[in-house]
Amino acid sequence: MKDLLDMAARHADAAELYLVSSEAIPATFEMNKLKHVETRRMRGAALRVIKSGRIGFSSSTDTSEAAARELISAAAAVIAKPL
Amino acid sequence: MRNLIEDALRSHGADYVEIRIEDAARTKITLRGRSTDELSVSRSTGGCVRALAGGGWGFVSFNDIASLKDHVALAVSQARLVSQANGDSVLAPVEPVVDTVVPRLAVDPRSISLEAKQSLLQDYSQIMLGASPKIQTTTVRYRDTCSKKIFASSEGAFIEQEHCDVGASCTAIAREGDNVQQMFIVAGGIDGYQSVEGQHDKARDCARRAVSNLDAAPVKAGQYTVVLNPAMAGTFVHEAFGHLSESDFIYENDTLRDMMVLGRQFGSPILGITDGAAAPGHRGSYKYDDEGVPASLTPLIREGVLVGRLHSRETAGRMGERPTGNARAISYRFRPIVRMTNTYIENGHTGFDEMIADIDEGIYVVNAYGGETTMEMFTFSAMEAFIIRKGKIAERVRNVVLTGNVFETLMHIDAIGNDLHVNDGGTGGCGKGQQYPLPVSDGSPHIRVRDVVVGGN
Repeated sequence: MKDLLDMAARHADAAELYLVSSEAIPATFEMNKLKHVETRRMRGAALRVIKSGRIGFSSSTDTSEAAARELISAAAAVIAKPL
Repeated sequence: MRNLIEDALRSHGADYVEIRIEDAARTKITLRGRSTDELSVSRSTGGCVRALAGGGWGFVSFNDIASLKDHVALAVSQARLVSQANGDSVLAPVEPVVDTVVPRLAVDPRSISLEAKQSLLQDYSQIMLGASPKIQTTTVRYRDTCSKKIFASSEGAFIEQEHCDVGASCTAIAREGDNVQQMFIVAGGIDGYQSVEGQHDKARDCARRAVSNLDAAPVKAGQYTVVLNPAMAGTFVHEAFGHLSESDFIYENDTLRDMMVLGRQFGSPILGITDGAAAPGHRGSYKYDDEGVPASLTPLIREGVLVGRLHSRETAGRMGERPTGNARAISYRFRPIVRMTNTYIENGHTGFDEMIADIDEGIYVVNAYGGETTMEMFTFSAMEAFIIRKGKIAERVRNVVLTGNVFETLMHIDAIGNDLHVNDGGTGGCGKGQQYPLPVSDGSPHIRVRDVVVGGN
């Protein structure tokens, strides 16, 4: 992950990386009887870069290294645009 | 991937298991005035398992596809838990399908750079801002979603479908003192990026019409004969009638079940209403729904009589009817529920001139901003409207709001045009439960409706 941040920093003044992993189990009861139960297993990565006062953000549900490179280029492409 | 999925569908111990895997790439750009408000590119890959055991459902959504077998086991154990309390779900039988569907794209939106997309939107902004000094601000939105979905079931279905939805909208806001008028146009389609190009003239016209509306007089409230253009009539048929045809609502709601009785007269014999994803080339078109059921064209009303409704396999199973291919989920995070696809009023035989010829004083309603419905009651606000006087389109009026009861209004449709237009495009969609925005289209020819309550100022 350190490598990824270093890679991102080459495109920007500052870079932040979030890695998220969560599991939620919402259940619904109707008339005191279990109606629905499900599980949401989520994971993903998000990258925020700042360059010359502009913010670029990109996110992915794929946490592999190839996906990480894609994240960086997407975030870098976004900050390259004049807003 | 196929081996992984087929392996996970073996020896699960449930009555039925389905797996959906989705890989979607999205681009969103929003311009307010000349500046870019939002520009984002995202990619999400994930899947879900739905299991039926003892008449109860379990559902697990995930991003970690490698642990598929584990997700299946969890979904099956949840299904057993639910079945102890609510175990009455059954699936209507369907023939399992094995197929691969690829989109026909004239211009793939993924082949267009972010710069080019942004620059097209800037052109639309400039044109609208430059149309008149009275244009105060503009909003231009662009969205594209390209997804690849796999559907596989324990019954042997294995369907790969690729789909691209591209849409844009241009909104112009004109202002003079306290008088603020808003107008928008939409473009887009499922056949590629070119569907949002070339909107320059329409964008200019949209801004000019917003300015023209500043000078329109507020409509005098009352009961009128109204003529609805295809966009307004399409919104009406989707919002006011279409949602009542969704069988999950009908099944769970006694009042609605008593209303939506097959064979009941809903309109005059000239009225026909259809929904179906099998209508090719529209925003709500696809080959298979998210339960792997082939798309169809479902007659809802024929010769004024209610003849059908929209089903998932589950609602069809519970109500003893045939599945219609209307089970849809906005993403792998959600279970499929009964949704509309392309919903439209069928062509009639009355030309536009003939339709307005014997109207002494009426209102021609062009395009809808939006509306609200509560069961059979509806309220829609018009984007533009004109007085019809002595059989001719006359001056512009504004603040036109149509209200009424959908069943009475359907009965009052007394002329249907022969110019069916399906409304595609835009960046929004239909919302139901937590699932928004789902790509759908609506459509209609011009229609004439007697005795509509029009509210104004």
